[in-house]
Amino acid sequence: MKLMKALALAVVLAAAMSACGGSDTTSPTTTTSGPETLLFEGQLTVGGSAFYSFTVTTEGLANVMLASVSATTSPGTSSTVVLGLALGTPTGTDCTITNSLPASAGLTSQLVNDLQPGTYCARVYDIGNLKTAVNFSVRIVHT
Amino acid sequence: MNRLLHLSLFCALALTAVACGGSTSTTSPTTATPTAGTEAFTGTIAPGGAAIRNFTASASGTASVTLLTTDPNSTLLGLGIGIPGTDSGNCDMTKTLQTRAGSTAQLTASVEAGTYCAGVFDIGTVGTNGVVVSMTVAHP
Repeated sequence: MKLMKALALAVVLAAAMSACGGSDTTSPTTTTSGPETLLFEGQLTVGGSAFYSFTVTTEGLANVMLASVSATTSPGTSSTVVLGLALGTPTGTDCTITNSLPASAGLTSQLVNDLQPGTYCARVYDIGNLKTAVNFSVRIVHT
Repeated sequence: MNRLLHLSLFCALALTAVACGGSTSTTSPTTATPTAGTEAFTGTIAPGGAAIRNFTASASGTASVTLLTTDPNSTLLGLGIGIPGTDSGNCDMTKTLQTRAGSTAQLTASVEAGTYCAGVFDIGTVGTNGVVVSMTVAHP
């Protein structure tokens, strides 16, 4: 009788431990979603413009940084030329501007806007200062 | 006797459940937090090449780039700071200049929290043997 009891206890404990062991294989669930960083690179011709569309899913700040303008003929050579930098909404094949300013390349965001969920665009354009085409790079950080 | 058996089983299960419960909810994911500091690196530049290093600023402030040494000595090189480009290892330069090695930062730029890059590049002065460079980046 004692042997039966000991056996029953061992079986129950083994089953319980086995169920417990199953939880070790659970991997952590990541629920945090941080800001999204986008890179918009391209070439801007004299009198030209370019834009990049992006989607905001949560209300929050969007930071737009004209980070780099460089000569196409000598890669790596930075330029201080002032370009137009704008935020807007995509309309057909263009970007309708809602907020803009003149900007030269820098490593702090020149445009910071609070955006509601929706689709937006960042636009770079020549405001009459370009004498030749340039390469540009724009960083967009949004929620 | 049966009562004793049931009591034993109940206690065993309760203890097991407590032990199980203790192992689950205390683990949290580890996230590397960027911190301010100075990063140093060395590299060799081939003709037409560059040595680029990414760094992460933890807050707004000034980043300072110093081309400390070159071998051969006094080689005039390009020095720049910018943001990492689409292509791996590429740096979209914001500010660049031509400089020789020295102990004082040749290049500074205001930055905000985020990832940036700095690097040294050939401006037509690097011979076939290349140039060994050492550089530091101090950032917030």
